[in-house]
Order: sequence, then C-alpha cells, then structure tokens
Amino acid sequence: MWFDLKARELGAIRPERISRKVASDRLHNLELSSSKDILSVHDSGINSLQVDKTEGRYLLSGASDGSVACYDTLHASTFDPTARSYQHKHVFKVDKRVRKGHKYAVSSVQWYPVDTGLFVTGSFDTHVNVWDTNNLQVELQYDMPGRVYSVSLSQIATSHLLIAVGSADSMVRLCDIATGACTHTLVGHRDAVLAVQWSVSSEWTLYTGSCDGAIRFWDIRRAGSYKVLDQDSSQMGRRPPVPKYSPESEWPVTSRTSKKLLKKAFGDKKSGMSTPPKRVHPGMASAQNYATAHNGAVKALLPTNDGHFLVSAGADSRVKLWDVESGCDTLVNYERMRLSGNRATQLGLSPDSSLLFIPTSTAIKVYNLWTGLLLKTLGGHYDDVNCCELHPYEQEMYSGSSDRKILVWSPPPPPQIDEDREEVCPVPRRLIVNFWSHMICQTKAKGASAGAGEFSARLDVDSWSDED
Amino acid sequence: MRRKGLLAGPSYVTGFALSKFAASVIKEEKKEERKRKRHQNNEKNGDLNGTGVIEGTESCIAEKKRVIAGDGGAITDGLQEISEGNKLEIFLDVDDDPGLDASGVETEWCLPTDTLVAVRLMCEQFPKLDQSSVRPFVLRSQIYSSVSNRTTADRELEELKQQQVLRAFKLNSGKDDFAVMLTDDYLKQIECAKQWIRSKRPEEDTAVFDWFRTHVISAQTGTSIRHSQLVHLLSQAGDVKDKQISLLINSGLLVRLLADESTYWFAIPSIGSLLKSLTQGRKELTSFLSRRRYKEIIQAVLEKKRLRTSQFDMRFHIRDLLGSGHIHLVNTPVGPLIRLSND
Repeated sequence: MWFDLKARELGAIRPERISRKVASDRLHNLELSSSKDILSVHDSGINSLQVDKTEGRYLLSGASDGSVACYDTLHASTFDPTARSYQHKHVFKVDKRVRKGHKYAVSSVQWYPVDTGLFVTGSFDTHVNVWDTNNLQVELQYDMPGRVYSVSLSQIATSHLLIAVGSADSMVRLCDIATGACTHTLVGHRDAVLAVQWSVSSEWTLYTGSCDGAIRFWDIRRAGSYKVLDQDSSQMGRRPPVPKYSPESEWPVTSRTSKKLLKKAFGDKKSGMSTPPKRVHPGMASAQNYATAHNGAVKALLPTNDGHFLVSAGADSRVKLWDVESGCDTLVNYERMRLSGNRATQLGLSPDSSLLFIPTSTAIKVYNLWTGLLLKTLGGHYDDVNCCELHPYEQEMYSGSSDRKILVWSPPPPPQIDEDREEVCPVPRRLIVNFWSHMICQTKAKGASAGAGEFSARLDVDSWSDED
Repeated sequence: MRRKGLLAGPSYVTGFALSKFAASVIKEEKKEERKRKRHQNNEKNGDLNGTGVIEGTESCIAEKKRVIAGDGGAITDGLQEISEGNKLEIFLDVDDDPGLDASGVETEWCLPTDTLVAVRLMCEQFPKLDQSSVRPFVLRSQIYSSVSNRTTADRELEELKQQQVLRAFKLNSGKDDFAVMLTDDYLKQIECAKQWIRSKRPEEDTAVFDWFRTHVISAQTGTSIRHSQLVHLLSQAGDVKDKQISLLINSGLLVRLLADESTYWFAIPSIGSLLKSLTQGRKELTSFLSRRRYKEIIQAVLEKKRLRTSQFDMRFHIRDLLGSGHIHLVNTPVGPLIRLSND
C-alpha cells in the first residue's frame, strides 16, 4: 500500500490503478463485519437481496413469509456500545397485511433501475407486484400461471420497460410497466424457468435458464430464441476458435432412406418424397433444439459486468462460464461445491468481475472467476444461504439465508494504533504531526510575508497542545 | 513434441551439451518408467498407495528444465537467452540424427499431458472384474483427484477428445457423472458387441457396426448425437435401416433419452451392472465414514477394507469421492487421513 502510494507520488503508476488495487485487496479480504449489523425483520428465510444501483444505499430483501423490507446501508440507526457495532434497522417493511400484498414466499426482488421510487417483487403466490416506495402500495399486479421464481428488469434499457418473469410455467413472460399488461410470451423451454437475466450489453437480449438444463438467449425483437447453449461445445480460454459446428445447422440429406428417417425423426406426416422439406422458421428450429447446458436445473445466471461472459450455476453442482458471443463453454472448472435442489439462487460477482461468490449450503465460496480457483470460504450462517449481493460501489457483501439473518461481509477495519495513552487514534500520529508541521510552515511563510505573526503563533500553540 | 531431436549427436553445434542433456532426460524417463513399474507391482501386492496426487508431467517438465539449467554452463549463450517457455521445445525440435536412431534407444516419444498420464495410470489400475467384458474406464471425477488444477484437466480432456485419444460417456448414475475411456478400448468394445450380435443376426445387419465405427465415432467426439445426424453419418457408408439403428441400441452402444427422443447418448455396452455397484459403493463408503466418530479414517486403513456392495475396489471409490468433493484428504504424521466433507 505505502509502496504504491510512493509510486503514485513519483508518477510511476496511474491514479486509477492504485484505486483499483486497493478495491481488489479489500474485496479479497472480505470477512464477517464486526462493526455493522443489519437487523433483519423477517420471520423466515431470506430469498433475495438487492442494493439499488442508483445511490448504492438501499438494500431490498424478500423473505419466505411474503414480506419485503428495505434497509439503509449507509446510515446506521443506532450504535450498540456492548457489541461496538452500528445497527441498521429497516426503513420500511411490507407484508401480506398490505392490500394485494404477497401471501406466500417472495422469491425475487428488484429495484426499478432508474430510481428508488419503484420496486418489483415476484412471489410463489403467482403474482408479480410493482410497488410504490413512497406510499408502500401495490401499483400494478400481474397474474402468472404458476409460481414466480425470478423477475428481472434491464439495467440499461432506454426504449422499453419490461419485466422478464420466469415462473413454473415453461413460457417466459415479459410484462410492460408502461401499459400494465403482458406483452410477450417466449416459447422454447420445456420446464419451469428458474433464472432470468437481461443482458448488460444489449437492451434487447435476455438470458433464461430452466429446470430442463437449457440456457436460451432471446432477442425480444425476433421470434424464438437465437441461441441455445450446448455443454458439448467448448473453447479453451477466453477467445473463441473458429466455430466448427453449430447445433442449429441441420445436416444435409443425401440418400433417400435417410430422408425418410429424417422425416420420421421430426414427426413430419406429409407424404411424397419429391417435395423439398419445408424451411423451418429459425425461431421454431431453435425451439426443437434440445441442447442442454447443465445436466440438471439451471439455478442461477449472472452476466459479467462487461457483458462478454455469462456465469451459470446448475443443480449438477457445476458452475460454468460461457462466452456470450460464441455460446461456448470456456471450460473453467470451479472446484468442489454442493448445489442441489431445484431452487433458484443468487450469485454474486465483484464489480471488477474478478471474484465470484457462490452460496453453497451454509457457506459462501469465493472463486477467482477466470481460473476457477477457490480462494476463500465465508462461513457464518447457520442454515442454507440463498443469496448474496455485492455492493455496486463499495467493497461490501450482503448475504441472506434460511436462518432469517442478513449478514454483512466487509474488509477488516484498519488497524487501530494505541499509543502511550488510552485514546484510540484512527490515523497514525506521525502523519498528523507531519500534516500540522506542513501547515505551520505554510502559514509561517504566509505570515512572514504578510506580517501576521499572531495567527501563526496561535495555530502553533493549538497544534502542539493537541499533541500533548 | 517429439523427442527425436534430443538424441542429436555431436555433429550438432552444441552437440556435447545436448547429448549430455539428452542423457539426463533419458535417465529421468527411465526413472519415471521404473516408478510406474514399481507402482504396478505395488498394486499387485495389494499395497494401494496410488491415490495421492500424481506428480504429473508438468513437474516432470520443471525437473527437466532444471536439468537444462544445470547444464547451462556448457550450453551456448544464445540458447540460454531463449525464454523458459520455448526452451524445451527448441531442444526437442532439433533435426533427426540417423546415427543415434540405430543405437536402439527409444526414438519415438511424445510428452503426454497430466490428464493423459492420469487416465492411462488409472486404466492400468482398473479393478479386475469377473463376469464383465467392460474394458477399463475412468470416471471424470477420478481425474480431478489426481490432477491438481481442474481447469487444466478439463481443457486437456477436451483436447484429447478432439484428438480422438479419449471418449467421454455420460453415465446415468449421477447428474455429473462421466466415464472416460481410451478410444482404442472403445473400438475393441464395439468389436465385442459385433461378435455377440453376429451369432444371432444375418451378416448384412452387423455391417452397421463397422459403419458406426468408421463414420460415427470418428466424426462425433461429444457425448451425444442427434438422430438426424446419426442417420446422415451412417448413410455415408451404406443404406441404413431403422432396424440397424435399433440393433446399435440393443447392443448398448447407444442409449435413447427419455426427455428427448431425437437424441442418443453414446454408451459403453454392458456397463449397467457396474453403474449399480458404483452408486451403491459410493453410498456404502460415505455412510461408513459418517458413522465413525469424527467422520474420518486413515487412508491406509480404509484401503484394506472391502466393500460389500461394489465390484470395484476401495481405491476406485476413494478417487471418485475425492474428485467429486464428498471426501477430502488431510495430511497427518501417520499418513493421509480421509475425512468426510461437511458441506
């Protein structure tokens, strides 16, 4: 740290590099925060957490009892002198007593990306609610055919305002907040959709992951999914080789019998060998593409911050890193974890996309995203961890678990220096002395030039009395 | 990379140093060979200490590099300036010297990857099974137990699959279970299946096995194949009928998926009984460990035990569970300790 500061002073390294280095050092040293507590008001497990991206201040949490609460992560409400920690109480809480409030578990919460005036929640009572934060009422309610597992709003969209909803139904629905109606149904999955994420690089692109193990990419301006990820297609490292075989391309037919077989395979009942096979709409062709990305349900999806890669977690206890452009698996192996059960989880990714946080049973495992090496295991919860959320601007993480707690993970506090006296000084004494002597020199020089000796003398006395 | 060049004689510019280097490499190689033989002998003697992490060819390379560095005094400066990475390659790509080829020292030699070494080693240590015609195979999780970097293992495995050295097969026993078999072994299995079918069926039906071997196996390196693609590949050889494809399914070379009727998995014939003992053996071992007081046992003690429900030996299961993360190794003064992972 001091070497870097010195190098910065000399101009050897760039200013943004030092801030990046400090931030990444702090992220690597995350531990259970000793000075910050969030007092959870939920009576059951926490399913989803999100910090708003506009201010980076309000943390929204959705719980299994149907309640949603909001916490101020910046300003503490009380200070607990015995635990020496700042306690953050909830700003508001809404539950089933509110009109049209959720009856069953809230599976997913999301802030309106533009400001904190609205938030969206999806619940197992088959409803998606849009709440007004100021009067805490449900402004819009969408009815879904099954349990809602995941809702998502695009962070970068400027021309649409669509909530993508993944539910127990195999169809993904897009609900428009502007009109209050469901505008699109995306057909292609064959089982419940657990994970829905908008792309961070294109506002029209949507990624969905389903219980049948498929991950589909959709362009919402076109019919059907334009890409189905296949676990057999892979690439080494970060740059794709020339694609050899794409699963969409149909195989040319040569002999007559095989044509017959082909028809049989696709269930084509039309007779007559002379007619050329009907050209299938690309959207429909992809609907018949049953390639799987995982051997089990896809539990979570998360695009990296540059939008080039997509992290997916599956019920086969595998986490995979996909190249979005080529749709290939980059073959990074994140070692040893347990991810089981067909439940949606929420992964965390550090703001510089270097660390991946994966909730596995009662712990959160920290991996290097690009090498897959396990760096750390963060243990602290007493029950299954359901979600983790990184603060978008600071080096802090929040995790929600079935033990009804929200834990704060932060870098260790700076070492406190006790000198001969009992008082605790946050900045090293020598620095203060240096600072004051510097100031004094300056004022002295000024005073000498201006002839105001009284002021400098008083400052002198003040500073040294403070020192003693 | 070929090792021919290592044996370049004194005719080469840096000949003396090179021959010295070559001699040291060969010595290393022989040492490796001896080690492996010792390993096999150990296996025969029932002394099963093979589950530790293989030192791997990478460390082997490192050793060789050290050897190069040791000889550095004799090597010309120009060579020393070459970066570490391609140093070895340059040594290895020197032109042939026919004089030394004739001397009878091993001439053809490829530097295998860690993964390939691990697979070959485990295939050699594959337990002897009675009443089963299955050729030795390795589980993917077992590879992870002996190759330290899993990402590298995955990538090398993929490369070996592309090069047709290995084939991977999806197994029904678990969500993340894959078997890995050497392609040569798999071709022999196809031959076995063909012989078995030939006794019952006419000649023209069994031709499909040859077509399958020559056209499908070489063209498709993945674990599954779509029906249309299979038909296309088979029809390159001759007129394929539905009956012949069902013959392939009956012999166990292809498995139909319940979820998706137009896709087949490649499969190893008559592996079904082994899958049962695989899952039961896993269950038996984990329940045995969980019943112990501290959920741990010394590896040497555990390896002497026999499993009731599994045809595989203990080492096979220990490797499998180590790779899948159900158990982990802790080093103690009395040898490695196996402990059940708690998550």
